[in-house]
Amino acid sequence: MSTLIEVEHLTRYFGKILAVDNINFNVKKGEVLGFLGINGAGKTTTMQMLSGCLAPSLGSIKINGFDILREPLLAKRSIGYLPDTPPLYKDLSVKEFLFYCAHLHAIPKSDINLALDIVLTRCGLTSVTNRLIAHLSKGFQQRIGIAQAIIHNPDVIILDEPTVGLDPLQIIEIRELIRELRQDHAVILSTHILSEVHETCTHLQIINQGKLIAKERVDSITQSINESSLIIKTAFPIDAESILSIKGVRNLEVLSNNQFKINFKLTQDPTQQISETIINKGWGLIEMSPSKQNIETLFMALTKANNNS
Amino acid sequence: MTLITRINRRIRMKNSFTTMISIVLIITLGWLSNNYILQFDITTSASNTLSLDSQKALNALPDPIRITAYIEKGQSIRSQISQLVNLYKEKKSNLTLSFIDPQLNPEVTQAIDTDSEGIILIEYQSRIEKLDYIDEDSLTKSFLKFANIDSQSVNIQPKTNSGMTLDLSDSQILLMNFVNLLILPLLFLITGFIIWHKRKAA
Amino acid sequence: MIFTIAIQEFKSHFKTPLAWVLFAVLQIILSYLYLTQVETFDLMQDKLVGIEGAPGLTDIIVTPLFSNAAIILLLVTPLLTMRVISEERRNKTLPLLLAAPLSDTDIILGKYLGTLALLWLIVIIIALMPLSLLLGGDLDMGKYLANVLAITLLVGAFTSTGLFMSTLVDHPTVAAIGTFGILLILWLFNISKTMSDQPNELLEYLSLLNHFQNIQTGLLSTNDILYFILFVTFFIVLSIYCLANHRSQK
Repeated sequence: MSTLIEVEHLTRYFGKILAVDNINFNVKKGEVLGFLGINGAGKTTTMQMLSGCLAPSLGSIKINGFDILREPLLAKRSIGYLPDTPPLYKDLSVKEFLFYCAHLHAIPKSDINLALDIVLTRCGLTSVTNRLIAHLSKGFQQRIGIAQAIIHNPDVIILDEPTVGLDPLQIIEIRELIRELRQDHAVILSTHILSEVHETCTHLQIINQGKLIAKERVDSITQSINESSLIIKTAFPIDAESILSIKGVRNLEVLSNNQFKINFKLTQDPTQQISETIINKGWGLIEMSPSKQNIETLFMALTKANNNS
Repeated sequence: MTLITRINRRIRMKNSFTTMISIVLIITLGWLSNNYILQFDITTSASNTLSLDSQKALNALPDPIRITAYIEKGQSIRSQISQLVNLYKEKKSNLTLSFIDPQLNPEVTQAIDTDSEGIILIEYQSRIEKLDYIDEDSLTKSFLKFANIDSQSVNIQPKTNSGMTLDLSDSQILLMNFVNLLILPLLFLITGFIIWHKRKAA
Repeated sequence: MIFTIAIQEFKSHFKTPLAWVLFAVLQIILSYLYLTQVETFDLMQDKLVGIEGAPGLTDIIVTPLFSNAAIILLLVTPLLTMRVISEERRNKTLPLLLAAPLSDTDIILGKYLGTLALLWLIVIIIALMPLSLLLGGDLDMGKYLANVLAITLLVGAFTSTGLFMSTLVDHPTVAAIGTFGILLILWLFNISKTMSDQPNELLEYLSLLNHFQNIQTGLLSTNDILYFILFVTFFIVLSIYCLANHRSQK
């Protein structure tokens, strides 16, 4: 598949402060790259440079084969960008605003109405088409921001924290939209919410203090960490020995009275045996839930390791 | 890595360089335009064009002419004089105009023996003409004297302006007041209010 | 592309009541000054007829009208241009333009033409005023057109300065004050003409008022007209530089 984004030795200084330090990565068509990092790690700076809003101090960015510094106009034709604050003219109506965006991105006159209809439906804006942007909720404004980024059907979509300020239902809709978009685009999205990466991205990239400290496929991460955990709640006290004797169980932490966390090896998933044991012994199983902290563990581990070194 | 660094720097340099070149070009063009001037008088009354007699008088005087006006600073008559003299300057490049404030330079004023303010001295070769009133007629007449041409036959008429009368009836003036001061402003305000109200509702 | 931005910019002024209120206020002030002038002429025209070379209708009514308009627009233009770029930066809407396939030149020229169109609309309103005199008198149409040209060029110069300040500075208010300051200084350079015996040629060349008045007389010189064109180009070039620089340094 074709590589749509090529980043080489990307570096950015703000005065003497090094915000982004020698980053390299590629994104191919069909990939969704999750950009993960704590606040101030350099996510937004990197995205501003990718979109051409900020010139890099060093390094090169190629979008769809065009260098963003040397052939900015050609490169920007393939970019749809949602900054961390959606760039909205609040005294326009939704339709007027998107119409203007369509013009700015040089969509042929005959196609504008079609493009407008598609994007309004996709982003769930049909009910507010003629309302003023200023009068709409944060969630709607965020969706208009996404709409302006995809209206011209760009090859590369750059979304800076696309789900901020949305309610859970809207987040699910946006994730679905991103999954839909990945069919024939390359998407980069930044977030500090870990579960989001799990839900929408094919690739994960962690940035800390301007440095890229990990780049993985999301589906391989879960496997690469050969450990998972279960949280169990029972009605009566349990006998730790009999749980620990189950094959695959590594250790058992007591969280509170009758609540435990069991860590185990993924290769020998002992979930079934554990539940059977508890029921057989009559301890009264109340709750048993897998804890989904894989990426979080990885993230914490990686950022900590990096800070210490 | 070094190659990429160099490209980034070159692109930034190019931006500064283009700007510098443009500014230098603007300054050059400004200087050139101030030295090579074309003028067109587009007034219907041709009030900015010298009469033929004045031009003839100038042609008869090859040497430099110096005009000195003794007029207080900050008087608007100064700019009126320079405007008139500029018309002559355009036809004769070695004609110069300077101003002297008589109150600030009493010794100069005494030297030329003037009792009143607002005197204008015109010097050509070693000859001097004194004028206490300047317009095209008087200025050209003194030039003719320098050229030893009989100035009696010449009489330059001041330009007649078109539109010396205004014939409006009282009702017409009332209508003008009404439209300009009331109708139009109200129209603007009402349109603005309607648009604002409509958008507020959206 | 340039026109897309320009049209949007032009339209945006009419979406708030500001432009309309401004039109109304300008109309009242300028027509009041104009009508007083008409009245004055009406009263003294009998005396003027007797005098040779006396100023006519155009000199007494039209030229002062445009001179007054120039001073009022000197005050108004900074208010209209102050938000052009600086407010986009404050509201963080600038990335919309920066990430679109537009060059910095497109953005600046678009913004410039959009704002200029609004000011030219004001010029049209002012220029229509003295035409009502044709009902009862004759105008020196050459001089009238020269006045219209003078204010058209002057407003172009005002707008370019305002645009530059708005690109340079983040605060709209600071941009407005800065614009007003620059324009006032350039306006007052002309003072050397009457205040010193040997006028400083450079200052006299730089003075906006000087060139404005020169064109107003009806004697069109290439240097006066070129002055305004170069003035506008200068500030446009600086604005483009500022915007481009904004990308590389922050």
